[in-house]
Amino acid sequence: MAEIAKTIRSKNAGVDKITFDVIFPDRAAYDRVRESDVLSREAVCRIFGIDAAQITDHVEFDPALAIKFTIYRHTPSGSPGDADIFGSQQYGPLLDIDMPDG
Amino acid sequence: MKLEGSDKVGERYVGIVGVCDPYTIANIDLVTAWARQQVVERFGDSCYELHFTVYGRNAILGDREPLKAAPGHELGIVVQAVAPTKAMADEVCMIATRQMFYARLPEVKGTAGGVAFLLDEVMPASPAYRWTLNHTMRLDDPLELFPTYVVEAGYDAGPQIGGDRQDDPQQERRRRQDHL
Repeated sequence: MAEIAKTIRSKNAGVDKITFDVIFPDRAAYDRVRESDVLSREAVCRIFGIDAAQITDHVEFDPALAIKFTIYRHTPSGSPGDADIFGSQQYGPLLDIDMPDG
Repeated sequence: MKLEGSDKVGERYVGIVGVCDPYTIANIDLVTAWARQQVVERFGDSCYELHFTVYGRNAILGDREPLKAAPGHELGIVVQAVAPTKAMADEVCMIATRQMFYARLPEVKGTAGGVAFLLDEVMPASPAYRWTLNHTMRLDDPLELFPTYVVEAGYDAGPQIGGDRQDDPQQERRRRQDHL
């Protein structure tokens, strides 16, 4: 994924959610990832080990060539023990997603 | 209208230790559990919070870390203690940090200290807060929850402070009220 996406990022979405953006440089890369389902709701659950109920939004946004999803935090941002107050380093597991051949 | 608020949880102290013994790394949860138990024996298990953030394993993603079963060759553990007073937070943090040093796992060859200290002390940190309010409300008038009124004080006693700015919303409201 890191090789074909232009931007892979995570950040806070309000107090109790973290949102992820995966943005592609061109339509071909965007379509290839969409059609492969490697960033589908089910795939996101598998990657982060979470239930579908923890995903609040999952959209494919054609105008921006972006796949965007939002998940609940364990605790609100900045609570004692929260080690990512801005949610800015949650995207790590997305970098190494393997793309099927083709 | 968006309403957000937070509540103070308590005063906070922080300690930092490192580990590179591979058996200790593989069993780091036993070490933190031992340290936590020493705090419980001193303070019980309520009225404070104690957090171990294990850098090198899953500090940032927690349970969502796909690689949590494959920690790095060395770990850094940040201990956070939150308690009603600075003195108690200091002591909870000190016990939890220092007892990681004394935790003895049966398979560890080293006998002179189970972790590496960056500092032989714990450090005061900012008080801990937690979000407690996160609401939105639909309003017809954005000012309806903020009643404003004007009190004339010392009107004849001298020049007014601040003057009469044309774009001052309070002055604007006052003018409108004058027409009522």
